[in-house]
Amino acid sequence: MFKEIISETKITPNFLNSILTNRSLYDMFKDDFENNTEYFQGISKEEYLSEMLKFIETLLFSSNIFHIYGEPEDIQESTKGKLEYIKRFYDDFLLEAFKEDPENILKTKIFKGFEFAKRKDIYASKTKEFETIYDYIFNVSIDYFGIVEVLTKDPIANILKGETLSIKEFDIICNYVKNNVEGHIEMDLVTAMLHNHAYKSNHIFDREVTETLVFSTIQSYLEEFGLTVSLEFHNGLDSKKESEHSFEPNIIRIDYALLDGFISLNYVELFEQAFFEAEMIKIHGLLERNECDYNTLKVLMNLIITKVDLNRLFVEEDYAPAEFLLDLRSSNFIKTLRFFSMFGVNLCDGYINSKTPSTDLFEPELVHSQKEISIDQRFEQIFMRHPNKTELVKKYSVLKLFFDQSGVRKQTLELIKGLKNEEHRNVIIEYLHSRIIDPQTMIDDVAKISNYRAKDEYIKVFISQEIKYIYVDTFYYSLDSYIKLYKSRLDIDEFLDDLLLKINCIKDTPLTHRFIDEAIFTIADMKQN
Amino acid sequence: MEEKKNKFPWDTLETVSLMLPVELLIYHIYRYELNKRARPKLAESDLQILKTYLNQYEKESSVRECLKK
Repeated sequence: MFKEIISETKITPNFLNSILTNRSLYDMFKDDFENNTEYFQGISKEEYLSEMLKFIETLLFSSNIFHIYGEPEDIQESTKGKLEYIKRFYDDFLLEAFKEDPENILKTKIFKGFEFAKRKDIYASKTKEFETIYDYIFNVSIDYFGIVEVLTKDPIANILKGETLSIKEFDIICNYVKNNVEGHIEMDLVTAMLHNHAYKSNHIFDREVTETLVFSTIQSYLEEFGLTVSLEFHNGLDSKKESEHSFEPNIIRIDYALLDGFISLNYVELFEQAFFEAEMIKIHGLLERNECDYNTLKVLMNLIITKVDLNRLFVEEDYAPAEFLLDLRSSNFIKTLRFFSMFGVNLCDGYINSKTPSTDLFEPELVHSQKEISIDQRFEQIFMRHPNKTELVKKYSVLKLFFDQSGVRKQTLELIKGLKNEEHRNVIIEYLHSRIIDPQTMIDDVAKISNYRAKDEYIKVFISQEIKYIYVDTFYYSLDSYIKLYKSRLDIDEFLDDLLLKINCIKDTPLTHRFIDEAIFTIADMKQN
Repeated sequence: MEEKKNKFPWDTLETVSLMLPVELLIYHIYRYELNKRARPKLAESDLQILKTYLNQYEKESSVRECLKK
């Protein structure tokens, strides 16, 4: 829009402030610049305009545009007229630039700055002065949102369709990404741009676009858990050291080196680090809130399985539990690869091919990883013997829901009866739908539930409709992971025969039919293989 | 409130409970690489697990290749 000064500016902020706020100096600048070039140090008017715009934008993002320190007596009186110079500059120079080329609206941060000030400034939105100029800029002088909609409609539609963009369209989208008033963009545009970055080599991202894409991604993810985050980039952060993780609430700091790496087509590291940091924020946030929801339960289960001392995590700066961090980093890497595959960038095969160790392989003993075994079963195995299980149940409300005071898991029927109360209904149902428990417990549950005569209408309907989802569909996974967990201690054939016996003892009701048929088929299949 | 259109399916990226075979292999490669640097003794057992998965994965891949032909 205005010509930028490339090297370090010689115009001091004080001078810019004077030109903007001193009426006669401003008029001289505006109407008689050519006759005063010496006074203006030989720097072009265009360059001044660029710096003045930047000055105003910086002020808007300062969170204290009125420079008020301490409690003002009369906020309206003390701020009256204080932003007049911004309106003047806007009317005299910016509106001209916008009329000349509406795309200039997307090139400036002034609108984003006003929105930021409205939401985050200490006093702005409480003052008539700010409200008036805000309304003027967005609605009266131009129809800001209407124009942005028109400018971006086709380019965004084209990129979402996967079409090749012209340079002009690409520039419009990049400017929109950098300067739109929300500060972030929707995930469909994020993924379209990332796909574009991977496959269309003539469109280059700059740092700012990439920052917004990363921030939009992380914010979208953490929003799922009701968490907000801010993102900062710095030079020279040692982002690989776990102990560098910040304990400040919900700020992610990433090294610029990762950002530059991404622009040079090293896709993974930047997002890997961003997701890792987001995951730590999520875990911290959920533990702090200590709510009775399924996400908190899963986080707790994983922390306990990976032997984290919950009294030390996020409390001691130096506490870096190795197994937990190892699992988190490895799982997080998978998450990053999955994220990229969501929009057609498949990095799995390439990674395997690049890392496969030497070719002389032999057949070692089969050792099974934790990830193949149901987290519920793994958790139960460990939690049963956990030295602090009663304290954990006392401390975390979601554990209280599913375990009794002595840390023993509540019976399924007890949980189903608890559905009578609406308060925890959703989390109990989510838990029942998602967990995978050991096969003996499943058989006992089905027997008890089919013998239970529910009086409450909701529970009656629940039992008749949900048995399939709770048990029938998961019997295979339950059995498979249970066998993997205890393989070294079980005689598999004996175990399967024992299960068949128990299944045949279940009272034959319509409720159990489905379960019995599925279970017998699964066991027969396993015995053959 | 208007529901967000095109809500991103973040729950499908959940890796706590479930991983595909190729993901499991990558998970172990990655763990092995991290342990090699930080805890070389533990990396030994990771290598055992890794070789198992690599074997299974290669077998699966070659079976898939045969089925394609």
